[in-house]
Amino acid sequence: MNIKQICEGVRLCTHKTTQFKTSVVTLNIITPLDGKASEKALLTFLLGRTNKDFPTVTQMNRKLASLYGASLTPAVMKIGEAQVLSLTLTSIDERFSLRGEKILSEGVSLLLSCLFTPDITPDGFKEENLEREKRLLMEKIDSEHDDKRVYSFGRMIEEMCRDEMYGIERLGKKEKISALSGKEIFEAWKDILFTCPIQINVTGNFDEAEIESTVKAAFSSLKRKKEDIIEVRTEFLTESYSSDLVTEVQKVKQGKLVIGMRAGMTYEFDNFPAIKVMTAIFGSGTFSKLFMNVREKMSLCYYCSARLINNKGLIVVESGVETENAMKALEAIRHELDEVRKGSFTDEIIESAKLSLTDMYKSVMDSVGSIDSWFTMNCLSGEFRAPVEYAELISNVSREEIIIAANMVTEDTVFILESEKEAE
Amino acid sequence: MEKLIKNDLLNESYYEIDHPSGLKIFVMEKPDYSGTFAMFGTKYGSVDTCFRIKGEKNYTSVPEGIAHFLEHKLFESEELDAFERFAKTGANANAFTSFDRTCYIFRCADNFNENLEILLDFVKAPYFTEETVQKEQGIIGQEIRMYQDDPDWQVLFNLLRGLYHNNPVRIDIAGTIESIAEINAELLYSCYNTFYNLSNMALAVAGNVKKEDVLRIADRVLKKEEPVFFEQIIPEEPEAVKEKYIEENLGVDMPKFAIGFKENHKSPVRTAKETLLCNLALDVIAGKVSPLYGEMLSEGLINSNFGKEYFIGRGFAAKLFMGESNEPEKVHKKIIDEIERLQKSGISDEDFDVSLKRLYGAEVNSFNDVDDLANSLVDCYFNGYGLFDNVELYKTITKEDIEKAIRDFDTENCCLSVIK
Repeated sequence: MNIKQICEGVRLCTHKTTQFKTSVVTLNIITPLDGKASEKALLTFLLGRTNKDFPTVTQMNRKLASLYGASLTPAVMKIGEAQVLSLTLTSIDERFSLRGEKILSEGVSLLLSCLFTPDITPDGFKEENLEREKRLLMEKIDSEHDDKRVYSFGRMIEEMCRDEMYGIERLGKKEKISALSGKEIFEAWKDILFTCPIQINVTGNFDEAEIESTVKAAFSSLKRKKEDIIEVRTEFLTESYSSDLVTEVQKVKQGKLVIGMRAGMTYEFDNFPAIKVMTAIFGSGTFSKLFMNVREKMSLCYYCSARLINNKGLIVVESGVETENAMKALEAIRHELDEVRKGSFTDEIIESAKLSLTDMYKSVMDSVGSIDSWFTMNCLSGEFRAPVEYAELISNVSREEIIIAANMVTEDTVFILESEKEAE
Repeated sequence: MEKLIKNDLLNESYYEIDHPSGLKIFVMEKPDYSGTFAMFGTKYGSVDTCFRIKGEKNYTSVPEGIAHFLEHKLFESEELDAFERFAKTGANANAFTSFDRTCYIFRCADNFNENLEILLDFVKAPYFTEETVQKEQGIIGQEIRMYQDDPDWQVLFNLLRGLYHNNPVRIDIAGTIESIAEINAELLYSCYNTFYNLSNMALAVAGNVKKEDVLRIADRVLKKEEPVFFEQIIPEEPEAVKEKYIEENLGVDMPKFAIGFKENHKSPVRTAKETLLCNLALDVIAGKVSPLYGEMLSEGLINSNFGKEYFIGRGFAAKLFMGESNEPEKVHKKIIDEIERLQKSGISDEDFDVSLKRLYGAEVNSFNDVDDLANSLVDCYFNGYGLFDNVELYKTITKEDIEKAIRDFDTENCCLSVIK
């Protein structure tokens, strides 16, 4: 894994290997999660669907098909308090092309032209494209709401972080999206080109010098200035100041329980290894306390698990339960966390948590997709570590450190999605 | 018996071994990977609700969802259950049940030998009691409820209930709260003893592993089993669909649809070539480069969640189009019109080239992750073909083949399922 600063605010992350038959290139634009989330989300999909050279969806798709079914995927992620706009190009390694075509370099040029030469007029993005992408984005928001697990998680975050930037939805708000103009998106585009840190990840089999000079050439004409680049900073609240219970009733068969907690972190790697191991013991994996007790012993649910969102210092527990059992499950989950705080867990479970985490870190390098995600998930970090370095940090965590980490955790917001009582 | 099967185009190879125990074993050595993935599967899934052991007079009918229930219960044992054993090695273990197979899997970076031993051992050591069966009914009950709230799942299963009168593919993989209440330890043993015979199973391992290690562990753990012969009964199925239209209201923000064209089923499984041709036909009709896709997208009829699939398994085959739309009837009509147009006009050389390249690229891309490789090895074996058959087939496909595959669509025999 190689990381290089290639011009002002532009970082190139590469991993060259012939292990895979696929190459992946991702362009990440790191923007602050703020009042312009809707503009930037819409912009991402506009940039990723067509450009000046391939102005219709079909023309763009035909171009991608000619690169052996390459795919160009726009996506918007929330990483800490950054709204990361990304365009990912996946294509087969040219060693396997039937007629020796150059696939990756063409793909990289295509990706860069999507960012630099969108299909615009002096008035901004074209009406036709704008209307299509507005509809697609609003339907995407609706569709995510229809997944009750995703919906409940989102509602909990919205409630818990309502006074923090983290509470802003990564895809924006429908009401706002529908009113946006081509001119406003054009302004957002100009803005990200000059003010946002950009990270380009390249994984697969490629000529490093060639990729570097292509990317450098594309960005140097922009003449970005150091003082214009906005670094994203995430606010970390080390403890919870209020604990709320929010309920909502919907016509669902199964209720959902989501618990938001503050992990006591002051930045994304603060005490990270100990908190990671502690969260695993508490609720990640089939050896964890939540799985063994709330699912297996009490038979209350099919899933009940905890995960650490280190980019914001949160631990979130999610479970699908019958509404009548929700409070019982909540108490059981609280009880298990208390057990971890008191240190009542075996040495075997520590070992299991460590083994499972180190195994996971070691496996990152086995998939082109997970290497690309690793680069992206670390796009905010000044200090970049390879997965195997984490494996080592994890192995050194002690029982005492786990107990201290658990005692730093404070419960914040509980969200319960209740199922409407059926009429008799 | 042992064979090394190679493919020069992909520069890949794997071993196919007939193990003395009666088990078919596949090993794909990938020394440049750090991890290994193993899959131990049986050709037994949710559609197997009625069977007869050779020599026995009576058919055995079992409750819906029993294959999936058995999958959950197999993790349990008299002493340490399988999850507890894997917890000591750090492997990530799991299992799944589909319509026609059940598979137990793990992925690990370290301790491969130990993990394989656990996998083979726990799958071959059933332990069911009435008490543990009851406990599982609560957990699986919640799993069933979770899927009842999943509109993507419901739109598919409603479609299957519309397409089929009798074929058990129309039942939910996990069964119903009522059907799983009928499951007991005795029934579980009866299914286990029939379908978990090594002659009905396969093991595939891909990753940083040596064939010799896999065989040494298999030699130690697996005892020779005499094959069990049985019939899996698939009820007679009328040619026509059961319903033309099914709608359910789940109060979703974005309505979902699934359109299925039922195939008349003569043979129990489709060949590699038939499958590939149908997938190419689907791509020509409604793939991302097709005129139909572009048109429906610009007219606001579909969104990014539109897809198509050749839905096949033991005893069933249908062509599916699924997605989200505020006007599913219009999508339905457009797809039928386009199929009928292509059936008459044929396809251009360019359309043929584009789809062939797209799907060939996808085929090459599928040779990356050890998980996918092991999964494909088991899948291909259960379907009766080899892992490299597809990639070689691309050289032989003609435009006329795809045109014929499009003509095989029966546009009359179709169902539309909608979730609102």
